[in-house]
Amino acid sequence: MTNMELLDILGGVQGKYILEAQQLRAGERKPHRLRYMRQLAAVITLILILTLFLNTAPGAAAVEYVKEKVTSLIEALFPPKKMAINVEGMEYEGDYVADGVEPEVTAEAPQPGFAIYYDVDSYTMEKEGDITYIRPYLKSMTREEVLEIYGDFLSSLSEEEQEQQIASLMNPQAAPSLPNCEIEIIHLDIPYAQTASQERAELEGQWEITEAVAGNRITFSMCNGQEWDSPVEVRDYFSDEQGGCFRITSRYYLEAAEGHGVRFAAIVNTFAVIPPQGSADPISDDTP
Amino acid sequence: MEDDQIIKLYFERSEQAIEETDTKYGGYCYSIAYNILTNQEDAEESVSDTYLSAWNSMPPRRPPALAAFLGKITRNVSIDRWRKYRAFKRGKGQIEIALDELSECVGGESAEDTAIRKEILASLNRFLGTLKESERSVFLCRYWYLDSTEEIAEKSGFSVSKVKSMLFRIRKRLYTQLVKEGLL
Repeated sequence: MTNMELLDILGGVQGKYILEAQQLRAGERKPHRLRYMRQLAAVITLILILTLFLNTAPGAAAVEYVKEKVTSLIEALFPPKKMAINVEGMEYEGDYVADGVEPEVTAEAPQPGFAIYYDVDSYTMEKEGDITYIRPYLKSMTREEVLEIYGDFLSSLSEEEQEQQIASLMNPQAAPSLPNCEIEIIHLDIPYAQTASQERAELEGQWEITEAVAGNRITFSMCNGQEWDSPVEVRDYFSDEQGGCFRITSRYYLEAAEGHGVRFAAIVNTFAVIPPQGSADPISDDTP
Repeated sequence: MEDDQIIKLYFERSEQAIEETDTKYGGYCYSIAYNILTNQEDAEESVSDTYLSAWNSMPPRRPPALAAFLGKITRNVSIDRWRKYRAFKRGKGQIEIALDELSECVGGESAEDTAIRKEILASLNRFLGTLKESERSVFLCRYWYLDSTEEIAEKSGFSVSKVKSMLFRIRKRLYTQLVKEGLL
């Protein structure tokens, strides 16, 4: 199915939904911003109150109930925002949205969750089992969009080259010859310092490692070679404040260090642990 | 005038039906057409075609919601006009126009295509039913009415980035549902 076909099929959706949306267009609904802010304040207050008696069964049940009602704790606590990033001397501002894993708020086995912001125009989040990935978003474009954005560049090419370029820009594919670029996030039930120390022993044979410690976060910056496509990995270990940790691995290659590398670092810096109690705190000072 | 009365005028074959439709829904239809065509003259022609199509459809049809009925016709007519315009502009080569003309001889879609489209539409309606009202309206403002994210933000009171992120999440969920149901 093409996007045009989907647009066509959408034309047939139920009339009641069309009229409902028209009410919004016609301004027959109250603006949502104030309502949203009030809801957000109410949800946060409620969660803080419930935190006080979370360890009781009724408390845990109540938090579950609130979680169901707000649909997404991450959406409520981490609203979208704009972030500016300096890439090779140029400032890029993007729309950043938080996504991640909701905490498990049960009395038996509470599990922390996390939220992390990423640029929705450039990246996408994918979940594979217990592992979350943030990967480049290969956005397909219409021919008109390609001509609008790359018109000047394309006009300098021959007709045949133009068509080839247009086709590849309309349906971009990850180059199979290039190393993977992605962020991998996984939760481990071992304290962060212990995990880092164990993994360092395994990694030292393969990588040149630079270690940095900040609060309850340990970072290994690792490279292997000086070629343009030599692999680079950055591993961040964050305490989950429950005796376990989150390990975030950013993978790219040397030439992408100023592109994906800078963007990945900015993304990882927004990482926030959401404890099962529901209040989020990016980094705390406790040590395991 | 109430919708029932306007529909009654169509059934009586009174030309006042068009006037009343234009008075009540002219602006609504024009806004849909203009969003698609971004040209005043073309949008006005699409609205006229909408009235003609409504005139030819009623009777026998008696739409339960006149606004949605007219909106759907305007959207279809305008997308069709946009497609032809694009084909003409792109074409000099006449392939798309010729194919379009030939589709009249072969009766359009195959039975299988029609069945798949119906399934996708049913899935879309189910999907829309699972969304919160605000999400559904934002989604349809964008992909049914083709309003810009800035316009949606202004009308809804959400920020532009909030609208973009809502759309992003909804598209992801829709994709997941269509894949799960074997429709992609």
